[in-house]
Amino acid sequence: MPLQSKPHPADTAEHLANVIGLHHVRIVPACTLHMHESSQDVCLAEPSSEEEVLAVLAYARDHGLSLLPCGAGRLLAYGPPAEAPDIWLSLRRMNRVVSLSQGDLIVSVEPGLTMSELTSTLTSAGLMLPYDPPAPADATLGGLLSAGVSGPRRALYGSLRDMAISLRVALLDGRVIRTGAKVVKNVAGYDMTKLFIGAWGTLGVITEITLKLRPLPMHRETVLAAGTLDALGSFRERIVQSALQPSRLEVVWQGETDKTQDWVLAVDCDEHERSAKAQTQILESMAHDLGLTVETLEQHAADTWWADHAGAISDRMVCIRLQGPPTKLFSALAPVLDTIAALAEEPRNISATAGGITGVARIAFDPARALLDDPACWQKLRDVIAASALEMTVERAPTAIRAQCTTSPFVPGAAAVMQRLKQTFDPEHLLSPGRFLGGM
Amino acid sequence: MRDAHIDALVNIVGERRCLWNPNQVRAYACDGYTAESAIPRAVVFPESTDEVAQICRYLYEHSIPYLPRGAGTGLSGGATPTGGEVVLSLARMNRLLAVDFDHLRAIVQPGLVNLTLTRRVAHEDCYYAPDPSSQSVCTIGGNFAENAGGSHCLKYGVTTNHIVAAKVVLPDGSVIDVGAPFGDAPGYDLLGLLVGSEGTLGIATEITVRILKKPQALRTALAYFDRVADASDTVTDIIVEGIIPAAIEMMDQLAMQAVDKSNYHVGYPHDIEAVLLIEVDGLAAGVDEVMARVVELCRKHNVREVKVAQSDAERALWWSSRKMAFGAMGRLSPDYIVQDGVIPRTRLTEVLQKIEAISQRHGLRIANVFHAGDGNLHPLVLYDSRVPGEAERAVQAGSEVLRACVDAGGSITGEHGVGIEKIGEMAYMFSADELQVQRAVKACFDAKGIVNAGKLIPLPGRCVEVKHARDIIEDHWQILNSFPDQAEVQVRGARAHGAGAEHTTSVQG
Repeated sequence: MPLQSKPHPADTAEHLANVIGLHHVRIVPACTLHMHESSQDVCLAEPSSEEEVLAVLAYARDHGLSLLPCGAGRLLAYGPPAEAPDIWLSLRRMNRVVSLSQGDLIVSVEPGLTMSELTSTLTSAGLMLPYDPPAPADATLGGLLSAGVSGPRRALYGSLRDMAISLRVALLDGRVIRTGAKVVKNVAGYDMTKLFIGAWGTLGVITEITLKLRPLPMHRETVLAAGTLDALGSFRERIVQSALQPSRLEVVWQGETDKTQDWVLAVDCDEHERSAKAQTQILESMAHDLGLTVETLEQHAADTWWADHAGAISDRMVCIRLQGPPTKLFSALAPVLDTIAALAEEPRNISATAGGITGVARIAFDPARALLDDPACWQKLRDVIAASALEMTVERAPTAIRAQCTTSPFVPGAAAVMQRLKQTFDPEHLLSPGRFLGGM
Repeated sequence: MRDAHIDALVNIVGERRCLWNPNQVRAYACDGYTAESAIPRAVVFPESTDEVAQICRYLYEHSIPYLPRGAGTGLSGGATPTGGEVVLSLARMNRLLAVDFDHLRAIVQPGLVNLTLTRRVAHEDCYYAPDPSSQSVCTIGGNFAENAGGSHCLKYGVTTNHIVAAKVVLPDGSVIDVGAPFGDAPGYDLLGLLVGSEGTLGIATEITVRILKKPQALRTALAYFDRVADASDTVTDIIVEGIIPAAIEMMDQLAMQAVDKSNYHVGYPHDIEAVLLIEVDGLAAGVDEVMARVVELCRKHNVREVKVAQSDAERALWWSSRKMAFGAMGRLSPDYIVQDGVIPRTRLTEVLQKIEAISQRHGLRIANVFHAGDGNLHPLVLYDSRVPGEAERAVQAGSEVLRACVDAGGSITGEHGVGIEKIGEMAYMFSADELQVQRAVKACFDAKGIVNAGKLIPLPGRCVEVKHARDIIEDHWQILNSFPDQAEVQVRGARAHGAGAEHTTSVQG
């Protein structure tokens, strides 16, 4: 096959404009779309339907152009730094709620719908997606699904892999497949939905997502217990060993308060009022036994507290995720925070939270200049975490830091299967090239 | 027959753990789906991941087809040989390897029986949530392969929601770790693909599961309804009300008659159309209030009688009556086919009416026992294989039931798996493209296509024929409209036998 030169961005834009409309195609420097991208020109395409997505994919395939499917771009500071794509495929305009069935507790949405848009639709129907990702409210469902991140509610409700039951995916070869089924239980064929969750858009472009829902809890109540990390660790253990039903259980760093009581354990309850009150009573008596001070938030106050909590994690430039058994996480928090204090521009602005059931911790901060310039600083943090036998993932960081974290985390056997999957869906490596873990 | 390959297997596991004599391996000719069977070449009983890996490596190198097997209680033929395969029975890998009560995780070998796990962690008030009706004999490895469900999925989810990590032997014998005990593993979700893959992508040899703390309190109610529609509406209303019960099960009159003739006699009235078994759980302080609300909703929908279990014995009787329903069908009919369709819960009444029409059209009784909260139906088509033609009609009726489920926006299987049994219906639910992509995924794991081949995903030829037959019907619908039933029969014929030309031409003719 003769080597073809890629069309100039202007030609790409002209062609795509014919397909999806003049107003929805632009040539812009990548860095205007995301602060960590280069200043290279990319063709921004904003399709409004699956057909338009397919048209963009067809053009990209025929001309060997790389594509980066994305939503609001809130989660893009992840993975190895890669070149700007030829086509920046924004799905933000595909933001409709396709169908909502209250009796079936199921909603189908387009990928560009944001969490806050979905939440307002669901709330008015008395429903919720029990999902509280550590991301801004304008992050899109498609982006969150592709990133596969989860928040504190995972403790009771699981992650998106437990909620997403069906997808429509536009493949690079022009086919559209449906995965799963729009019913809550289904084992027909492979569970293909799972393959696209956390795949960072490297296998196909998700054009519709169907999610299982829950009724909106009529009552929300959160108990906040403050004390030393040790005492909160004991509190956590008692809660986990009881028959209580926390919907979220997080130990949270309260940087700015008095040094002796710098952590709180937040225990959330989605049960109806009578059960929640009973749970709170039990929690209070456990907390008093351990010499902890307790405060209880209800309804709106509880919602606000959790929203602020998510905001504190998603506002900082760097966010690292640690995973492991909760007891290990709890005991690693102090040394990890000490190390990070030396790497952060402003130690007071470090946010940290660790799931007492999920075993997922996040620490977010704005990096000091030294961290960006000197890779050795980062190595120190990695050593501390390795000593605690926890797994670390850099969820968000400036390019300079991500460039230091490019080693493949896969064992050879698993990597081979993953590479074959990638090869099957995207043989030319046009979808989000180089951005997946290990540079896949 | 003993040959060099058998010798090689014996070299790995020893004489005692390798069966090859046809009389001995006959017991492995099928699983709980007995309509088809075939004699395997050999059955081996590995005891460690390393032995499984050695066996797989040898067989794959020599291109000898093989398949894994747990307790063999599957209902769709997933563990049934198609002829000449080596069966890897994981029954001897039945140890509970580790339990971490502090973090609510357990690591088990695949042959561990589902209920045994629950019993082994019960002293710490823990349990393993997925509870298929066969839980006293089925294995966690089998549950992993089939993504098994159970009665409490409505609130607690199915197997895939409870397995967090696994050690897996890939078809070629390489061993990989997938998933993560906490959080998410990097890369593509191979664990998610493997769960429910019916042993076609690899064999899990160590499985890390979540265990749960037992709920503080339970309340169980039994509600009799004169009309099925009222029972269905009650189910929907409970959920719309914001209550997620641990389980909502429904049985129709025929199923009630069967279980009342069994050892678990509840004494259901003979003139009601449906009974609901509803269980709520949670904190002791709240369950009574929730149950009171459920009872109120039953009354709102014209319940004839609703009672809340007053003792553990009463609750146990009601549950046994429900869980033994399949077995009890033997009291009504010598043979039955159990189906496993799923529909959106809100379309229950409508689909039940369609099932009733299918029953009448074929002159076969269909009993309905199902997980109403999930919309997971288990229609039991009763027939007598001694009556010529009745078995075929039963298969047809079952297939029509599944199509009714797909037409209502649902699925052909909610928890029993596709296996051999429903492989024909796959092409009804998925497009040729969708099936091709699934075959491509299979090839990423098993390039030779020899691991549990012929299960789950139909081969391309077969779907082409089905599609072809369907196209012909669509092209000639005016002619065929005058005898729709024959057309249906032809399509099914094409699917069931995988035969091409003569069936399709006869449709055309």
